[in-house]
Amino acid sequence: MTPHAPATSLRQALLVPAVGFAVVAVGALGSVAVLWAAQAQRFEREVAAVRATNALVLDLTQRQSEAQRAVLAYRYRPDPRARGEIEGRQAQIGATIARISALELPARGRAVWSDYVSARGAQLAAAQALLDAVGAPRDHYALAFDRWALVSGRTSALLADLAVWDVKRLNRAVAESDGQRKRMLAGLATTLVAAAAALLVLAARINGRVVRPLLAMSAVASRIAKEQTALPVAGGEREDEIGTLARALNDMTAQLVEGNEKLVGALATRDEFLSIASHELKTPLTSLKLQLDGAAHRLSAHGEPPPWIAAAQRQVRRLEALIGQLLDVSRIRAGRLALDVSETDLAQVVKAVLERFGPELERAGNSVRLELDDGATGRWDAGRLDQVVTNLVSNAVKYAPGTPVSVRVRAADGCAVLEVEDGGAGVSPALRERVFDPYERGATPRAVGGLGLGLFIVRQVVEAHGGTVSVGSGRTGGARFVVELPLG
Amino acid sequence: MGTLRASKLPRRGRPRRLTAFVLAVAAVACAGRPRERLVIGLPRLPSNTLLFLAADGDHARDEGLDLVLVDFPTGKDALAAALAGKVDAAAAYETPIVFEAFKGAPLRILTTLHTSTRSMAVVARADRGVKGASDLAGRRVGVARGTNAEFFLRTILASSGLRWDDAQIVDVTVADFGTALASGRVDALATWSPFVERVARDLGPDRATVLHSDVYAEVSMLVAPADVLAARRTALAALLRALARAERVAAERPDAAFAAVRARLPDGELAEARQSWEHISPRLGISNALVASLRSEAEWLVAEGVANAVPDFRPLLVPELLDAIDPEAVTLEEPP
Repeated sequence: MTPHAPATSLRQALLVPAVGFAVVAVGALGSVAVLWAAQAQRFEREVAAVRATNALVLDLTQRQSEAQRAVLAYRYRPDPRARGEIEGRQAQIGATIARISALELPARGRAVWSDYVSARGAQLAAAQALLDAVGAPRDHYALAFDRWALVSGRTSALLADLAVWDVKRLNRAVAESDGQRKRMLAGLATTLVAAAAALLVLAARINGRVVRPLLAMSAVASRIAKEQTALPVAGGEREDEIGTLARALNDMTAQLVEGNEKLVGALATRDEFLSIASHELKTPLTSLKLQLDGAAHRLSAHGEPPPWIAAAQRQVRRLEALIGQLLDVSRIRAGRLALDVSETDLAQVVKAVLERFGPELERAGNSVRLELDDGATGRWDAGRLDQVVTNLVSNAVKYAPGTPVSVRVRAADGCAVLEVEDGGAGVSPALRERVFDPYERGATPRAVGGLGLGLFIVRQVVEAHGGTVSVGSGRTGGARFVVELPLG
Repeated sequence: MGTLRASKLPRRGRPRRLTAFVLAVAAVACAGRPRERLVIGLPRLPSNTLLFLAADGDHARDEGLDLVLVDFPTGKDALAAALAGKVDAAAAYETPIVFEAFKGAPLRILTTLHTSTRSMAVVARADRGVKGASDLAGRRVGVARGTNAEFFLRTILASSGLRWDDAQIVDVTVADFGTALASGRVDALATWSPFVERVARDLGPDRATVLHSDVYAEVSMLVAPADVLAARRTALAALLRALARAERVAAERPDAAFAAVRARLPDGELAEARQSWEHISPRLGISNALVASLRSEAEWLVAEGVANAVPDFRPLLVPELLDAIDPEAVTLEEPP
């Protein structure tokens, strides 16, 4: 089924607000940055203007003060040179006045400056009159001085007012700059808080609309895997991507369950077939074995039986073992693995198996190192334990021919421990759990004979006794099987 | 009268009634808040533009004031009324303030109201040989004593090397300004706009000589008695805020400012008012120039024997009220 585009897309529902929010946030930050830069520029211009005005006013104040002193001093040195110096100073003052007049002053500063320029004109005239009054009668000079002092006091005061106003202009610019900066910081903080809130809302929305449904789906998927049963995945009614995923999961689950049921059915059919087949094969095989044994017995009376008899007997025994395994698996699957427990010495069981496997071990080229400790005695099914040891030794012959095989029995920590170690290639970590599964024949199944049921039966028998079996890596890298059975 | 029975309102009606009640109380509180009355004495001259604007526009009302302007012939008269407790404050000029300071009057200067260098003039009878300031020697010169016209006249006389007693000084009241010169009672009259223009117009261009001073600067101030300042500080601060708003209007819309002046003057004085208006700068401030102006006048008057000592004017100034409203208007500091 081709998934169709969801009617309401999560991408739109989540991405669009996220992108929109990002655009707004970037826009807000960008605006703040632009405003900040503009405000900084305005402040710098204001500072530069204040500095320029202040420098000129200070220069003018100094020049005016010097000129006034010169005017007063002229009374005591009334010569043309002194008069010329005074005129020179007045000209310099005029130049400074022209520079200040060229500045762009705000309204209040412009008003004070205008008053100064007006008073300055009167001061020049009064100074001229005062200089002309030098040598005149005292009263006349006094009146001229009073007039000159009146207007000079006014010009000096106006320059002082202009200087103070200039500083206050700077203070105002600083206060405005600080205020704007604080407003921008407040705006920035508000934007960040709003952004954080929006992010939280978005995160909550994502959590509610996406993450939690996905986690719920994941939990259901885990349960499906664990319980091997079809469970509904919630969210199928949604029209977005989550809904599409939920419906796809439900479809997949239904198909898997159906397939699993078919597989279980097929396995059940297979097991049933193997059970029936092994039962059916056992009877003619038993008859064939009896026939061969009888023939061997009769022929041995006349000399050595022909080799084909022994070979046929071996193949019959092999078939008998295979069918026995199948029957055991059938009983195990049916839960009919019964144990006939009695006081059993594990070391003795191992000795008997190794003695029986002697010729086969020799043919395979496996040397055996045996370590049997006392005390490994418990209430076990001796026959089944024989089967366990047989399967482990058979495994070593099959998968590690020509290598030394070490078999050790000991009692430790309340358990009887059986270790079978070979010098072969070992069992890779990936296979160590699977080797105990039925029909598992390792990495190269076609190279090794058998049905792959031996280790499965080993685990079932050991676990039926309350024990454990595991496989690891031996000292030389070969396989090392460890069986632990509870004592007592 | 029947018994009233309490009726139970439905639950959803109660919040609406409560909201309406709260809104009604708020409206009454806002609308019915009484304005504080403040009475200012002043001469009805263009130099008081800011007070006219504050009273006629919404500026004083918005500051919670009921501003009442009371006419006086001169600033000197308005100042005297304020010191006598007849008005709360006065618009006065620098000369009467200096004279009151000589007497140690408990006055406080809140702000300047205007400056001008061409408001004052001596109008003289050219047909009687008064063509310049030097011709005032021995002449009868009329002046309203104790006003800034008196100080202005002193500077005019000094500009020609004349002393105060080189002329015959005649005390002329404002009411006589229009007739004193024309009738020949005086040969010259020291006066202010719009009287300068009116008297000169009445004499005619052939008979009138108008003498200005380049060293004199007129400044008017808002003055209040010290006890009034202490008791009505909040109201006076509100008045300064209203004046500051009026100052902005005067700067941005001069025509609107002149309209406030025009509304106060008789129609016949409009031409003269417009002429004098051109030389007036309505401006608030507490400045070094103000102190220099007061001190210079005081020093001049002390030098002429009018008083014994120059008063310290700094304690009379109250810069903090204006500084709280417009810091750049207060430049009464030592420059950096």
